[in-house]
Amino acid sequence: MSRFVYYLLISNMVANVIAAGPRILFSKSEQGAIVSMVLALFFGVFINWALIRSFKAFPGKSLPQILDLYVNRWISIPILLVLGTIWYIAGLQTLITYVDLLLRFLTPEMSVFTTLSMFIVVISFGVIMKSRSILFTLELVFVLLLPFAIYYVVKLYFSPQISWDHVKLAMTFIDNPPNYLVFSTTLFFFTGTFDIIILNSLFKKKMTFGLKQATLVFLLGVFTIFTTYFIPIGVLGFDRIEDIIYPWIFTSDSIRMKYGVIERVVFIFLLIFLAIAFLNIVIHWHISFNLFENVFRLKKSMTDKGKTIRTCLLLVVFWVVAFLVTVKLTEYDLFTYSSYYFNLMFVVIIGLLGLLWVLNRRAKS
Amino acid sequence: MRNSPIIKVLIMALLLGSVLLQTGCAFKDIDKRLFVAAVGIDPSDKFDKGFKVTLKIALPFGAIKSSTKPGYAYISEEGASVGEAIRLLETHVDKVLELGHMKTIVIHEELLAGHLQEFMDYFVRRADIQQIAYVAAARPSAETILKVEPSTEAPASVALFNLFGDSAIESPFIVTTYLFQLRRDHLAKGINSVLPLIETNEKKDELIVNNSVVISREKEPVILSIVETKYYDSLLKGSTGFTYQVKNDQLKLLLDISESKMSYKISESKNQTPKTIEVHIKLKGIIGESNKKLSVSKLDEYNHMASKEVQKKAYHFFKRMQEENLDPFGFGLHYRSTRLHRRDVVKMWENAYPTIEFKVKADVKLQSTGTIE
Repeated sequence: MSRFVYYLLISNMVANVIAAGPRILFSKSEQGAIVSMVLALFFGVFINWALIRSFKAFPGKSLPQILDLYVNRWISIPILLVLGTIWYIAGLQTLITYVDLLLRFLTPEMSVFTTLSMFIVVISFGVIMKSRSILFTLELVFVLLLPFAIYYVVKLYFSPQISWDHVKLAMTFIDNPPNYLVFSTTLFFFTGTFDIIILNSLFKKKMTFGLKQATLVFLLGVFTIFTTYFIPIGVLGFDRIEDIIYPWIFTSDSIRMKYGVIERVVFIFLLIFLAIAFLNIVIHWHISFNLFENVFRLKKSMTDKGKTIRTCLLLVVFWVVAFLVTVKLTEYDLFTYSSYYFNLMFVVIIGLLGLLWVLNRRAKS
Repeated sequence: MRNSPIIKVLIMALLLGSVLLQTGCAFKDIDKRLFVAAVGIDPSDKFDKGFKVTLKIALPFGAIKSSTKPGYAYISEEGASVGEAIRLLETHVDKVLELGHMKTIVIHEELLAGHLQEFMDYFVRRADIQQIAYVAAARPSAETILKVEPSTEAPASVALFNLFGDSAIESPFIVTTYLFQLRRDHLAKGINSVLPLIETNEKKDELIVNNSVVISREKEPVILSIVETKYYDSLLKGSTGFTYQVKNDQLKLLLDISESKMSYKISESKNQTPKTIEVHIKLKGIIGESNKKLSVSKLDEYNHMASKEVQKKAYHFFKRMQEENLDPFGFGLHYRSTRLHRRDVVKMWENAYPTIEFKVKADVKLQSTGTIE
């Protein structure tokens, strides 16, 4: 696996620590969260394996290109539409959460429109960037910020205020039957790699997914899931954790750095995670944008002017939807729709893997 | 390429244009704000079940050198709820009240009986209030405590901040409870939260913190004595210091403990009800003061004597908490966390705790008699 694929995976994991994921997990903490998370962990490694394996036959080709080769356009258009929408929502969901967080914690006196437009303009710039530049940006941000993110998380592990009794208490619920919602939410942590349906055009070398890669993905998953679920419980307590809307912000607000530059870590923490999640939004929308572009490819040879118009139109649609949804959605809606989305995502992933399998067979024959 | 230069120029223009939307800082300037250092909550006289909120506001001054004493302003108001009182207080001053730097919440000890949600809700719910704020109980009232300006307080340092969190003083007599810890322990079943108790002297120029309060949702708070507070702090949180007195008929020693650890095991009887708690205390340190000449060769003897004393004191403390049906150490929580979840696990513990048996074993390891024999 190329190192960029790992970046994609990690960026999705980090972004979801802050977004709606943890809250969904905690809402089911007494109804089988742990078993489902363990199941999702293994299944997450499996889908990564399946994905990398099915792209092995098509090095340097993105999904739309593969579809063009082997499938009728009338079949590929609905597929691309669905996938584009799914990826768009993935970005939108993180975007809304972050706008919400910014308004709540960093700039409480700013209007939602200003915050959102600042986000959207910069994201749009990222969306129409070349895929290659996006990957390089991702690497740069990772090198600069991920060490800090890890530092703060590890600091939480060693904090004397963390109560391991609460963590153990959460673990005593291990014998509950699994829950589908928790399973699909946890599985979403592992879907970062699926961005290669577009970005695969950049990976010319054949990728392998052997035992080494599987172990790495597995360990990343264990660390992410354990941190996302158990650390807030240790800090905030197991009883009534489901009441907290942003468990991770609350948790980071509970770290104190006695001799740090700023005693209250939450601001630094928010900025770091914001930067990584921001890139995650850019990537998701970039994928979505590319998928849609392939849908609206009216003629084989489009003029430059036509392409510009198409880009503009697509961007405007992206903006309008984002504005309408962000302003309208309440926190409760966000929570419910996110659950629906995660539930749907599982089906889409299975469908996508099935499609890739069919394509693989066609390519062979 | 599909990204024609026109779009890039357009987006660049948009990006630059968005700079114009910014009005400098998105918020009001620092000189238009008042920084609240601490909040005090007392029961209200005017309102039934209302609260009297007192704010300690740090006043800005030009240079630290030019001011000899820290400057504070105090404002208080009564209201049916904490939020309402603070909202009214906003109309008493000309600037915005900024609660983001508020680091100590002081609560009148009488308010600590029963469920705290009525007045703590505001602090947990508001996003700008830090969860690492300290919470403390006050005697005789929160307002009196806030208004104490200790003679040792220097400009630009708030005494109420230095007391807790080991940032200045580190003493096993001072319990530190953060806001998030209070919320966690108060809502959890099987543990009671402990708050430090701030008192003052008659002249009102000292803040004295060496007692603490155990609070519970069901009953009146219980005050821990100085010794109990110390044992709570050193057993549960591993605090250390120069403070452990042990004595027998002839000898009186003061130990300087540098390491303290407690571990315990809850064992069950045959029908799965918890029966005994076996506590093992390990202390390490040196002798700091004695009323007689000591001998290094007799360290084992002193160890034995100290162990017995610690064992006795700890046992009494555990016993007293049991009689009050309080559990500041979280034995119940530990019990819940070590058994696979059953529906009646909390009930079972609550029934068993009043009669549970304590077996305390202490191991004091003294390494030296100090600089002299």
